Amino acid sequence: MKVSGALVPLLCAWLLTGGCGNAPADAPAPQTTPATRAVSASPTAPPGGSATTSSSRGTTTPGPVWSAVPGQVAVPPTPSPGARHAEPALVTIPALGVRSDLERLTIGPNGELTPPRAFDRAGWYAAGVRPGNTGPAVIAGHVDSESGPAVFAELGRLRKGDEIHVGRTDGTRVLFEVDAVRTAAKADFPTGDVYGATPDAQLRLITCGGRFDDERGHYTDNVIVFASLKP
Amino acid sequence: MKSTRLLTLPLIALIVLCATPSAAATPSGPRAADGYVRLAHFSPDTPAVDVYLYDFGGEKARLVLEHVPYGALSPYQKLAPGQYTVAMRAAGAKSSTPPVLSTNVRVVPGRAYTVAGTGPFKSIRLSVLPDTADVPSQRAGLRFVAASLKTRLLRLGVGDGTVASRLRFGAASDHLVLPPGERTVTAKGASGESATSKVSLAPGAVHTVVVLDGETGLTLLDVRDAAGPGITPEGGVDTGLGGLATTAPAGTTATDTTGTGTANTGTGTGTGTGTGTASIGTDSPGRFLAVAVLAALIAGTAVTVRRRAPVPAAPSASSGRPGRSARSGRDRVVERSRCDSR
Repeated sequence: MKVSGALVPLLCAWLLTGGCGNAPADAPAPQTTPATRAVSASPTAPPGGSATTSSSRGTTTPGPVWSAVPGQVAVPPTPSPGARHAEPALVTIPALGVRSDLERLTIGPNGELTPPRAFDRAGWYAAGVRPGNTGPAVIAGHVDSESGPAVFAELGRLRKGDEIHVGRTDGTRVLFEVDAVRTAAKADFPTGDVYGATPDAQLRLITCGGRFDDERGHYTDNVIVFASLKP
Repeated sequence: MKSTRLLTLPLIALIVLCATPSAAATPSGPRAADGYVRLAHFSPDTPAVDVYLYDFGGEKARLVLEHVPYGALSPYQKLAPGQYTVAMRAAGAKSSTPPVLSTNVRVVPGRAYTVAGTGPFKSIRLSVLPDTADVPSQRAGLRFVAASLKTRLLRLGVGDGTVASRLRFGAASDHLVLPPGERTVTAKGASGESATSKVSLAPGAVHTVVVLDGETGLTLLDVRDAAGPGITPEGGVDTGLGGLATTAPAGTTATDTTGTGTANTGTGTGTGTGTGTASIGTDSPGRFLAVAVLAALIAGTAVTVRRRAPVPAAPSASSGRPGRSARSGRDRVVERSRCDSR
């Protein structure tokens, strides 16, 4: 009994100091300001927190109170469907020198996302999410035509941290930052990763990559850039 | 003899933890996507709290939310994958004082979690709710959280149908898959309390409806957790005709480090979340913290072990968000045919 009594806190201390090498000391730094905004205590209750404490607030005493407060009620805010942004009209990728108008892309007969009609112009998935709204917005562009490079020929060169600007039809702009660039076989396309619902505004840029399948007349892979809203 | 037995459990927990060092905590190679955590106070008779978020083992808080009242839900914090600790203190308590509650949450890339104080004051716990749900194309997701002290059991309905007949106080339902549109959501307590609200479900969206104590009876908090495209395209995109194919593989001119099958990391590995909980006790603060940490570790380990087993052989899809493409580790989505017009 005595042994364990002494050891348990020690083990805890060891764990707390990262004894397993599992501590996130080497975890990559988060890239968004909300997360790194250390200890910036929000002065107000978070959104959705307009709860009123019918009995505790009136009897506030100096020092923290920690006892049951019967009869508290919550007054949830009315949900406001966030404003829908204007449609995107232009994508600019400074690191690649890319600047392209956007056409609207639709779903083809087999449920697939249709590629842009022009090789020198990218397109956005218009039945999907608008850039800057919550969810993954998608912009696709050709890597090449039959004779040479197309608008997204260099997409695979993008690196984490590179910026992507999207201009909208109403003149506003929204800025994204690259999180990762991946190559995936079209036959095993990561649909959930690319199109799955997200809690924040995301952007995907898609082009072709990998080997060219002469029989099919298409590349075997897709190069996918994952980016998120840069605050 | 007793002391040996008491020691065994924590030791096993430690060994298992150490033997599986970085299941999902520290991906290597190309950086994977971040995950998300938000904090909530769903314990009706618990006073306002200060909520702290720490790196696991860290002493400096990454985030502090002050004076969080009952019914409050923070926005999501984007976090690098890994292990974090959430601690609650009485509102206004010094950050150097021992927390009344703490728990660990393991953040997996691309996934979202709510860490909420749940249950009644006398047995409040910090629950880790997995928020991410796989919603089929042209459908929406919805789940409930029971956070009313006025009733121990809730009957929940969407439209004319009942979707859950006995949701316990402090618990969260599975995600339901529903046709999109404006839906009438109803919560009824055992003694006649009820609340009704209209929830606008966009296709691709995932909502949480929290049932809270209201001025009279119950009240509903509707939050949209995530949004996606209404119609999910199938497969990849044919965006090339081969003009560059003779010279080099397209799209990856400079690098092929993210080639198929090797892109990103940690495929199919642990997706557990630490769900350690601890009750408020009268123990001395130091001992309480020790017990809480151990409880959290043991619970977290148990989850890790349990979840590791059924994960199939790592899919070689170039996915940095493990369970998602494989659909193995995602949260169970319950399709309710009676709510589904299909």
